Amino acid sequence: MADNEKRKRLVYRERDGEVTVVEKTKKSFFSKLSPRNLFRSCKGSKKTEFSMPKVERRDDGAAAEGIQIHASKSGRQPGKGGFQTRYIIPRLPHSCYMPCPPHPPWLDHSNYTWRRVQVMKTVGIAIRYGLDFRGVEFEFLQEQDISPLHLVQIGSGGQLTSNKMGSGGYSGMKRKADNYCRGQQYRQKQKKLRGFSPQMNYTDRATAACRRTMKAAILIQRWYRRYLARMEVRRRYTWTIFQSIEYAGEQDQLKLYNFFNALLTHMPDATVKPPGSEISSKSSSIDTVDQKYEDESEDGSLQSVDGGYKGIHISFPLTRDDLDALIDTFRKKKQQRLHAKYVAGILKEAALQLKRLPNLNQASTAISKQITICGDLHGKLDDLLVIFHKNGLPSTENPYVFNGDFVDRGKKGLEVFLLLLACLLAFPGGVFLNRGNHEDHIMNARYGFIREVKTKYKHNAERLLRLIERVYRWLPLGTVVNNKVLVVHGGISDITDLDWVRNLDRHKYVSLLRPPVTESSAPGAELIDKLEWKQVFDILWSDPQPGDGCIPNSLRGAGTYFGPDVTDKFLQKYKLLYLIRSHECKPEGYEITHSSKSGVPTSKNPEDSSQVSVEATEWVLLYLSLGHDRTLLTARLKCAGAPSCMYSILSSITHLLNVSGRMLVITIFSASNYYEVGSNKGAYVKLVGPQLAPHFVQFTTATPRTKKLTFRQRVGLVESSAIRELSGQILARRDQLLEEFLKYDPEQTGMISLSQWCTAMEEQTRLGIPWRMLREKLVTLDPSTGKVEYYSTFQEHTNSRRLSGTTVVETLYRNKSSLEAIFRIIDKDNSGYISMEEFSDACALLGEHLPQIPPEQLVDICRSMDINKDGLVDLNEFLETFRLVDMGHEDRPDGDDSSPDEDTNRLE
Amino acid sequence: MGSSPDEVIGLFSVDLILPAALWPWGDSASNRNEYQEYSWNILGGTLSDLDKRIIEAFVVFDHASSNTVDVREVGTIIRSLGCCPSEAEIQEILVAVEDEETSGSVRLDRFLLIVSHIIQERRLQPASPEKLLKAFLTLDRDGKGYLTKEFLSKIMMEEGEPFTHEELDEMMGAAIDGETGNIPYEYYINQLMVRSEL
Repeated sequence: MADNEKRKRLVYRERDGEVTVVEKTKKSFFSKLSPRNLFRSCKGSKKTEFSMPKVERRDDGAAAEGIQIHASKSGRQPGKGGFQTRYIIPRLPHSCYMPCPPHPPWLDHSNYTWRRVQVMKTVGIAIRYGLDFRGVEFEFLQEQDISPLHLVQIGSGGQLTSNKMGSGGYSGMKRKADNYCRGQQYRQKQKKLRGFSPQMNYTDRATAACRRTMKAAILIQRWYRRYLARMEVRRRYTWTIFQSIEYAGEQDQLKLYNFFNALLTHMPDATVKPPGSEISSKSSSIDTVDQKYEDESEDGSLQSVDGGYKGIHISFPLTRDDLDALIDTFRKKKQQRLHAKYVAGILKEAALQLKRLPNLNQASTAISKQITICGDLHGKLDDLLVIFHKNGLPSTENPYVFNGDFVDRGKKGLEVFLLLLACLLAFPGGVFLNRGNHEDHIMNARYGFIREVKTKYKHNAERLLRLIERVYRWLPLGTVVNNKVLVVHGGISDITDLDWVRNLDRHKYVSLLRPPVTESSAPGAELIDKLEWKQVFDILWSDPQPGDGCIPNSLRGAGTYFGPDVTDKFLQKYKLLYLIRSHECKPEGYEITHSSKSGVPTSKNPEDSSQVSVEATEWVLLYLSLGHDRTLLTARLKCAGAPSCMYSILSSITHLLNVSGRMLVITIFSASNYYEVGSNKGAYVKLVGPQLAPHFVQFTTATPRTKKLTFRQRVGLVESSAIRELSGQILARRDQLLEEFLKYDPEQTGMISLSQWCTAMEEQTRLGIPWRMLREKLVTLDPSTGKVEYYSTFQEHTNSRRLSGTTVVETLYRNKSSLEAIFRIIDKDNSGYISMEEFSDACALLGEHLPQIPPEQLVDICRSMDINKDGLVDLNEFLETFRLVDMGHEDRPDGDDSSPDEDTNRLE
Repeated sequence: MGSSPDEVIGLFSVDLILPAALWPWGDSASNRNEYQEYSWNILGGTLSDLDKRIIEAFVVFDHASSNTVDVREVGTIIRSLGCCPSEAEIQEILVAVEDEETSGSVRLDRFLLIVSHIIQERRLQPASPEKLLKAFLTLDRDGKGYLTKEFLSKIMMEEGEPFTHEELDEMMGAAIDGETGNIPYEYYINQLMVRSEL
């Protein structure tokens, strides 16, 4: 294939029945598709005869098959062909008569040409508009509607349904068409084929009526499309809001954890047992849990199954019947809670089972011929059940890969988690579980899973959480299907080394939010450790990006963005077809990135290139630029009786694609309605056949409420919920915002201009949201001047919460989750209480690094936190203390929390 | 329809795209620097409110924060700015704004330049609501005051720049009167109406 520099722009140009190719450099092939552009290109271009797609005339008058596009597969004789070739475009019927732009010089002004432009435009529009051409059939009523250019366009995605592709060659066709055009014969033919032909008979009344209808239709369509576009924009920015807030939360969590990290890593091991030195302390504590579990019946801490328990009973090893019973129990509205003993049993069995698995699951479709991959579930049991319902329960014949993030956020994280583990136990070969970034107790502390477990199993929460943590640690990090497709939760980075990943000890990563603390102080050892940790971390946290290279993810505050080049290198290195990952919510439930849609393939082998014609190159580029599914396309071309030209270059295309077209990352997300009802679809992907061709299935768990909603209502609903979230964020920064506003308004008029308001909002929140569009939702505008009454930014909330005082509300919004997370971190044993010992550990830590506060004083503070003097600090007390402290230090920048009783109650 | 058909749809005229002579940069590489300077002035210099609005609409679709959007989004962006172009007109704009190096994407500076020009010249402005009403009246040949679902679907799917099934479903979902199953278009027009912000 010609190198990029050599890539010529070709323009098909027709004059006197001959097609010449005008060559122009430095323009993308894609932009050529428009007639308008052709027009421009033709004008100023250097004309050269081009060898490949040239049409020659034969002596017998019929065109030679020099350009094989027109070669007939059906053996139709040149010159004899009637106009029977039909290609169907149901979505874009040729009644699509638009007023025509001035004709490019390469088309004459006859009617047939005019119509050809229409068809071509239509196709061009469709392609540009991203209409999915796969499976769409085209119908061209006349052969002369086809030009090489059309074929390129249509071939790029549409299915050619006829195998009677034009026979006369391009020039022949044109000549014939010209003849037809002149006579009535043509007109009749047209009518017969079409029913009517509006542009032919302007005088015809019926036609005029058609035309009017058509124009009315166009007008309505224009208005409607504009309406739709506005809805779409609303939907998009809503998405931005949710995502920004979500990632901002993750960032906070990480900062918090980094703070503790800093403390921990600087601390001498000998003095205090650090809460975070998981390697030593945690594992030992887990061992003790095991001990307790073994003789649990004696100490009675896990209640034995007694008469009071009406729920189901399960026995190990789990069978299909147990699984059905479990699903039934979980599905019920008023569910009978599974006995804690069984929960612990499942967890423990699962941990044993998982322990035997390698770091990367090896899945094979040898028996099943297909495999299903599901993305994040986030405690959405309904979505999981929908998947099972649609796709069947997992079994050896119907294997599943669940790609991490089973818990948090959703209400039924525990049920989802248990069900998946139960599936794993019942069908060891039918379920593959990958660890996600939420399979991590630090994340759970903030995002609700720990709270969920504590509410559901009040008395045994501590033990269950230990067990869950252990299961987390034994979860494999990824799955490789048939050695061809890698499935991991986050993605890869430029340093990801699968062999390393295969051999490391995954068990030691209790939480991935911090590099493990090594006991050895040798700098070299630490370095290796950090690198190893980064391997795992990137797999669980990365996101793809459209640009090349690898950059740290500043939005999430963790993980890496990896570019198409990284993907490409990685896939080539391990001879993989593509990469499936989850980790990001997508409106459609799935998304294909790095599908070389982003541009010309980068890694072309020059030796191969030389053998491939320029024409083929162009074709390939077109295919690639359209981002079509290649296997599908190949099959289509084959069965569609495509012109032999396609065959002749098919092999080169396939070859090229093998070299360059493998850059592919699929994101799959299985929690529907993730941000809010109607916000997104869920999806799973089935890899089918030996080629592991991905087939996506979308679904939405229907709640009675969403079924009837129209697009508009759905958008409205999601939007208002996003605005609510956003208001919370705004309120949390009230003081800073006000200060910022006042900067713009030194005279205190209460008004600033819109762009000042926008700048101020962005400056303070850094959420990257289209404030300008949101202005009506967030502030009051002065109708006459169009200025923003900036106090109204906080209106809604000051109205509703004035009684409690702004600082209380504000700090509550800001710190609730952070404080809770701090609490969970200090609470090493997840008991729900901070023991005196735990707190003095933390205090000692703080004392190390806050030398201005004497340690004794800190211990005093700890004591004073224990309000009911039972020797333990619970979350209420913790928050209450911070409120007291906050009242004493109003000016402290970090505020800390404060909460009247009703608020703390809500937290518990 | 009383007015000439062309008036209703808006003439498809050549000057929909800026004539090449008007472009601040030419087609040739020698003008490239000039263009870059120009765009730098625009982006770095003072931005009008219109420019800011365009940028903001653009950024909503700029998923990678790379100052580019996919060509497929361009129609939505332009429409969300209050313009009312036909698909064909969008196509023409695309030709003008598309990035030549990385086909399939559109760069902000170029987009801003052309689209602000279009909006300032008040091209692609929606026809008046009366015209829209007239269009419905044309379809309502018997003057019943409503259209049946089947008829409107047929027209929308087969005439003009046909809807996709998704578009049609959405439209019907919102347009149909729950009681009669018909489309009382005079009410429906109100929904399509958006306060002009330009």
